[in-house]
Amino acid sequence: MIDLVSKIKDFKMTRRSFIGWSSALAATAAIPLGRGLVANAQTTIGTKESGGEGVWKTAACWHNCGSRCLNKVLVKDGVVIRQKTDDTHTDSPDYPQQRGCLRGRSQRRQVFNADRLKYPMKRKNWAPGGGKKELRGKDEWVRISWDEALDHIASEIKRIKNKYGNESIYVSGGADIGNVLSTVGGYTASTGTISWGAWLYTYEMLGVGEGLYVNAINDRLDLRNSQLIVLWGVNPAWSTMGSVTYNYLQAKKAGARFISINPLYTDSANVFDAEWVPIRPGTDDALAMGIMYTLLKEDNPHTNPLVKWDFLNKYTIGFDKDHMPAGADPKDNYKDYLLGTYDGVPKTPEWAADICGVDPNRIRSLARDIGGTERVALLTGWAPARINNGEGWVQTFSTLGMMTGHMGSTGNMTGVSCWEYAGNNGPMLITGGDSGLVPVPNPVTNVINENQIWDAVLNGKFLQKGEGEKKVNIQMIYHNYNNHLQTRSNIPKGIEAHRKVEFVVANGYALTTVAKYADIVLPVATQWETEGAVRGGNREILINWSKIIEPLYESKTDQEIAKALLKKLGQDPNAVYPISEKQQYFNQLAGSKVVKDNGVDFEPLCTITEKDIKDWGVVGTPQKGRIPLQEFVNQGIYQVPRKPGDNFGFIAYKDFIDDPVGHPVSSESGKFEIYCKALHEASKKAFSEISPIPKYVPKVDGYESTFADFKTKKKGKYPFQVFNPHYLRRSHSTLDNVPQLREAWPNPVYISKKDAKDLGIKDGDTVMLSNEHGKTLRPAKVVETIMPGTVALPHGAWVDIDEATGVDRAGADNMLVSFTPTGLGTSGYNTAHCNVEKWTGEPLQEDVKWEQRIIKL
Amino acid sequence: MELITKSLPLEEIENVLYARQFAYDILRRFFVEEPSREYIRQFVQKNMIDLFPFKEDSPEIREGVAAVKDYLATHDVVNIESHYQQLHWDYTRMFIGPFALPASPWESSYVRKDGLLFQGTTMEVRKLYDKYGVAVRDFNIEADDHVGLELDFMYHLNELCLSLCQESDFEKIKELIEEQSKFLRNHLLLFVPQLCEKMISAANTSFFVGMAKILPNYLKFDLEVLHELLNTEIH
Repeated sequence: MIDLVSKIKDFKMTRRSFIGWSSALAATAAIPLGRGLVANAQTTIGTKESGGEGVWKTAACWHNCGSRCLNKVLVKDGVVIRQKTDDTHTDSPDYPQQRGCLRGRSQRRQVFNADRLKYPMKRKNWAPGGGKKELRGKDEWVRISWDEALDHIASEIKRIKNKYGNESIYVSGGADIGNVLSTVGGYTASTGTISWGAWLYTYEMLGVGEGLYVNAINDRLDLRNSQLIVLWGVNPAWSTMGSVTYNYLQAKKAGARFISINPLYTDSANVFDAEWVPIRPGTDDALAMGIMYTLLKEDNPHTNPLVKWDFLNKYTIGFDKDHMPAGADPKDNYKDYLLGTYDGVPKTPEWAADICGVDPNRIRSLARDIGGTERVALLTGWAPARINNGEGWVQTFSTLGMMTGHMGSTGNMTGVSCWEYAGNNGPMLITGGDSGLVPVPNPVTNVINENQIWDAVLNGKFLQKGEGEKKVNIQMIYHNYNNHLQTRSNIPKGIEAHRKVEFVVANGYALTTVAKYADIVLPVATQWETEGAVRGGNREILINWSKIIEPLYESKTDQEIAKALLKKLGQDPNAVYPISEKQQYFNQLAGSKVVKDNGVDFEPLCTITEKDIKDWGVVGTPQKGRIPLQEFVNQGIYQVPRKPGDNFGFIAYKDFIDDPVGHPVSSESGKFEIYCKALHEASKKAFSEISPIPKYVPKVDGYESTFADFKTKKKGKYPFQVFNPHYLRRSHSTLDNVPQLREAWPNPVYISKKDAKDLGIKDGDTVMLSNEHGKTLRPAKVVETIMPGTVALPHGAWVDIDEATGVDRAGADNMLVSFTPTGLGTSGYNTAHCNVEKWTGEPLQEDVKWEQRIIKL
Repeated sequence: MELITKSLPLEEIENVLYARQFAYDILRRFFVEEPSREYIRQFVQKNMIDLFPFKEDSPEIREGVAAVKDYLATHDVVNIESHYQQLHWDYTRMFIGPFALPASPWESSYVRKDGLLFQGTTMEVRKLYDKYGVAVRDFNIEADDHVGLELDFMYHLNELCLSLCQESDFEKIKELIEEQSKFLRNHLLLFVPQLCEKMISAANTSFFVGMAKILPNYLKFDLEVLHELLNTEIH
């Protein structure tokens, strides 16, 4: 038995022991153990499950679905066993939980899906220079090592660069591979209007907001003050999951009436009990003109004031001949265009009805509703502007709001309501910090419009906007962070282009469309397998997610891939990525700011101590913030609570309305431009000319194109209009491979009962949609909730072409979209025409029963 | 359980904890992996083995210390590469492979009939690590019940005790001491004596023979120290 008391005395007596121990330990403390125990990330981040089952951590839900919600996963023994969503506080209309949707809750089935790309692979018949290029998309695959894959990519980059120049390398998605190529001389890039449609290239010139960069509507609490809410191509129940529909419901409870103008009777229309106005895609401007004509005709300043002349006179230019900008022909005013004074075509409801399909009396009643109601929210999504020749629609829609004065005051708003800011505009109340990484500038200036990418590859030329036609010889395509062949192109033409070039590479987490048609594929880790990030959503929230699992199989993060490739190219990866991914995550957390109660000033969100910095193993400075760093990381979200009367309310354009001279809008004149010279001038250096005032033009591949002779209404070869609603089975094309989502949302083509009857099509029959570009199959969903003459083919299904017939069986929307550049280069996803016929071949099996894209070696 | 007979101030207890910190740091480092050049340099130059606690009280520990010193007296592992390599290889050969391991370093090999790794024994240890917020760096690559990791765990719990001394949290300190005593009884002491016997006959260097003599005897002493601490009132 040891005598502790005397032993301690011993220790102290001998003295040397205590001093010896501490000096020895001081010398060795910093020497790391290679194989010891480390802090368990699983227990240092997250909150313990109450039953002791594991730890709840916030997991990335990183998709571009138009929302941002809280996604939590229960981690036990390094395995994700369950998911849940926001329960960090009690739910209420003013302070709602940020609840996820079926897609976020299926995230586990994406990350752990058996179809993950597991290791680098090359096409069996690939050889430097391309090998059998025509086999892209149908070749077999060979597993290779990372080293071999990167060697091939680096040597092909060098070879192609030396032979054809850097311009011959097209990188889609920019991002990390963009950085790599920029380091070695640059690459040809592409750009387009993507989600925005015509709003993106026009809003600044017109002086209005496009709903994301520039606010266009009031905040969600003010929406409760609207008496009438017009949803013009707006369907939050499908397009902006999360809290948006709930916010609209509060307006409904407060007494607002809803009108939905849409080719489809939407789930939103159903939830809000909206009056449905069915309309043909791409003809919204005609309807708006019919409404505005009615307003002019029925307006009487004394007995029936429908037009807000004061508003037009004070805040806009170009509406009538007395308010034209200098140098413009007074005859070119909008009022006279509507009345048909000079072109002899009054834009009457009857004129509009012939185009848009809405009954003239309905048009007149819409005019009386919108013009005659005091507080109106005139809201549009981006979808009606995702059309060919779409610029005029942006102007027409905005003009309707100006004419009725529904802008800049409580309950009144006219503008875009979609994506993460749907129904709730206003400056962000909480913002994430910067990662600290600086992108490498691209020395090559080539930017191809998305409507022209594959034409540029096939024909060797494209229009450089603002400059003119340019030659280009694309011989290499590198896809990262995107699925351009699926989502940005006429797919059949895109495949042809892919089979022409000498080399195609794609980074992907599964065999996505771009990966399928590549020569070499590199497996990318998902966001669950990377360090973490901070992401904003609606203006009241900031979400941060952290790593859930190590990269699965042989996958690497996007940055790891870029760094490895830089090394193979003889470059210094640390010059491009001087800080670790963990440091980038930490920087975002440290730089996060939250608004103070006064609604003006901001303070740091996180309190960070010396110990935090040491525990994270990062570089940083301690700071005082609103909540401890660890709390933000454990909760995964901070939300600014809101209540009526707080200092966070927002009325769009209020500064301008209160003081138009002191706070001009972004247009050339500083006023809302109904006559927009800048737009007209810009179009001369773009794809097709746009009138300075919004005039009706038939859209390329629009309604009129479904006729052989529009005047006699003789239908043509492609008598149907086809458009692409966003669909809850996926986010754009992401998540389309998840079996349980396939089961829940079978992805039919929606067709009206009337058309189905005429064509002898029954619900569930396999039908073929075809046009001059491609052919695609889908089971028919016969409904009474779609405008006859139009079919709705949900956006984003992973194309799956039968190589023998060229027919796609997946229902990929872009088999049918022509991608004809018009106007300023707007992408016209919702203007396409097609024929619909009963499929006589083998009927389609339900998608969920299809074999998964698991590569068998 | 004996009645509490003694009462000691916290600072006195801390002295014991520092002794343990020193001892467990040496043991974990030499049992978890091959000695690193950096560490062995400090170990030799600071003559750390001479400071090993309790060698006065235990002839076996004294023997072990002498064996280690013998080796270091005849081998310059800091400056002569082949001497360092000899020591390095002795660890690799005994505990890593690639040949048959003469002294398997895992608890599972001794306490289980089937001798299989990553079974209940490994998971029991893993759960304890998890309870204190640590995990094996090479998760699921190295089994959690490796002797070096278990020693590292003891070191870690002692560190926790030391940090609790700053907060004078007597109750938590007692809990941790109890946990360490249990871990010694239920895990380390169940297999370390056998493992070290094998080491003594398998080691090529008197360095590792010495370490094999020190380890089981120190653990037995430490169990007594912990027992004493549990029967001491801290004030």
